[in-house]
Amino acid sequence: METWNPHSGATILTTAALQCVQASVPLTAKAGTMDQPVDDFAHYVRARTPALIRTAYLLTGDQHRAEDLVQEALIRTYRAWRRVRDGYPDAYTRKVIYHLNISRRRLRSSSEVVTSEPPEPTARGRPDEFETAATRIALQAALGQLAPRQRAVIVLRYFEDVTEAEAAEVLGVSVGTIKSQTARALARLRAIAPHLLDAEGINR
Amino acid sequence: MSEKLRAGLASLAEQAKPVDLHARVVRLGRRRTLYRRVTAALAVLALGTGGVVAVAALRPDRTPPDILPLPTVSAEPSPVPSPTPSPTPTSHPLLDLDNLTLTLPAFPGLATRCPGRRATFVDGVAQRPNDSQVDRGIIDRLTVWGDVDGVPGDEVVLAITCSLDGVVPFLPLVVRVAPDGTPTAIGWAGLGPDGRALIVDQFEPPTVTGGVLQVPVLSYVDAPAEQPYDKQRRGYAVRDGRVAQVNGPTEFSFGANDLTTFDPRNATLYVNVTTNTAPQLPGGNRTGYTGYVKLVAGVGTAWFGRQVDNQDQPGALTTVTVQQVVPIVVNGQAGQAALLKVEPAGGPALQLVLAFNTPNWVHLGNRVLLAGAGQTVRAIAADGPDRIRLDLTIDGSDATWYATSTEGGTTWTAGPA
Repeated sequence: METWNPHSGATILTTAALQCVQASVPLTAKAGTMDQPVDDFAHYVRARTPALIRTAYLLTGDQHRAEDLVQEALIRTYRAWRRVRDGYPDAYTRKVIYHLNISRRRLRSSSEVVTSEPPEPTARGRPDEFETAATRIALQAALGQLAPRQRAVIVLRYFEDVTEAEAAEVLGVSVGTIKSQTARALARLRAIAPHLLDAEGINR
Repeated sequence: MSEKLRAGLASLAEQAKPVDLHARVVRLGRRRTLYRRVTAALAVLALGTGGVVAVAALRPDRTPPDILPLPTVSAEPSPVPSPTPSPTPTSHPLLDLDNLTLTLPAFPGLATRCPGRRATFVDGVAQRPNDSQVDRGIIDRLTVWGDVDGVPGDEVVLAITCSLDGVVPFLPLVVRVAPDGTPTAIGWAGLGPDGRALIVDQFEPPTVTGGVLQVPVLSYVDAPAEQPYDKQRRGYAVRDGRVAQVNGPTEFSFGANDLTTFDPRNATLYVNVTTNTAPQLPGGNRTGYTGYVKLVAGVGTAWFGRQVDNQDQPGALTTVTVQQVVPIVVNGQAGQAALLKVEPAGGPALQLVLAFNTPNWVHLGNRVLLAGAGQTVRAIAADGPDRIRLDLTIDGSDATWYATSTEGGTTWTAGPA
């Protein structure tokens, strides 16, 4: 029904899938009619959820927390759908994700990455696979040491590649705040795990 | 540009698994819409008939705070919670604690970001009127009812957040509720004698005992982020129409932020025994306990939050005991490793090995090992730089594992020799 495109990160709905979506009749629809806004929402959710989950995963460091965060944000988008669908629903959902994450969890401690288990099997594979796994673990731990707002800024600027102005818009702060939070987050990352950053100072 | 960081984030993000949330979102979204319509209708009905309508049972998909067992805290300086839960808190049939309008006082020390204003909360969050940005929230699991003004009728204490760059502090707000359900804020609890906002423990709900609201606090909101905590409980009540501290300490005693002098046996620690991988805890892979505990002579008791599958559940009074402390050297820096025993009431006893080796963040232990059912850590010892030996008993058989730090000291991996 759905084809996962690993390159674009988007879920491509096949013709059959579109028919499935269009055939769904929500409770609020009159008998014999289709509720266009709800169908649009279904399409939006299935198309954007993978990307939203990836962002939420970077913000939370955990698959289940990421799903919970995205689910909650999409519920709010769903309830506001008639108002946002003709504008930028993705911008609305992303804003909710970032704000919910910051308001929900203010843990100021380390991440939960480390386990008591032996090294993963991939460690016995090719050296570059082990290095990638180790880098991921290190980055996960380092992100966990950032305050929620700092982590959000890093994800916005270096994963979602938005500008300072766009990041300010998402988080509801000034550009100056984005600049200072970025600097503090990078300084913290550099102090925790300098090997995760380029040797030279970061300018953009 | 930091291509390394970008590449690392992209690689890390690929670990996220796609999932279809549509059905869940639509189902839960409709349920909440129905809930709001029903509660509004019931409120109108109750006003019309003069009857009492029980709306608590219609709360949407949230952990129901009205059945949360709370610890009883004595009204003495630095009180320790007793193991006896207090009676179930009340609620008001005409007040929806997630959807209400309230005139909020300014957040102390953050009045520019969170000024005093009339705020309308929808599903627990309020937006600024000028730009619709969410700036306030209600942490409903920390809500508590009780009489704190000496006048018949309970007040409700709501944990209100203020969104701020870097951290999101919150404070308990004492609110009087009129018979018709109209809430009126009286004032903030959780302030120091000089009015400075304090960092309130987010895992231990406040309690009301003998007309006093006991609030667990950790530090000042405006303290440096890396400063160690000093957990205390301070009592507040309404006096002369204002919220004031009436018992408990008025000053903190922060330890030095120095790895060489840090003493895990006499410190406030953040303890997190949540695991998403090993099936070590009853209830499945994702049951855990989290909280702040003040250790004195190696022992401390505190209310810990509990999560099952990342969903908040009623917490538990938890005793933490430091069983062993050994010096270690990590990344060329002297530090310490501690073996902790974590015993939540009604839950399994766990052991946790933490490495305190992050300069300038001495109180934030890096997790080395979590041992659960069928696993016992008998002893720990330094085994050269960046390495800890772990003497274990696993399912009745002795074993020796080694934990090594390879990523600047913040990440540890442990396994058999």
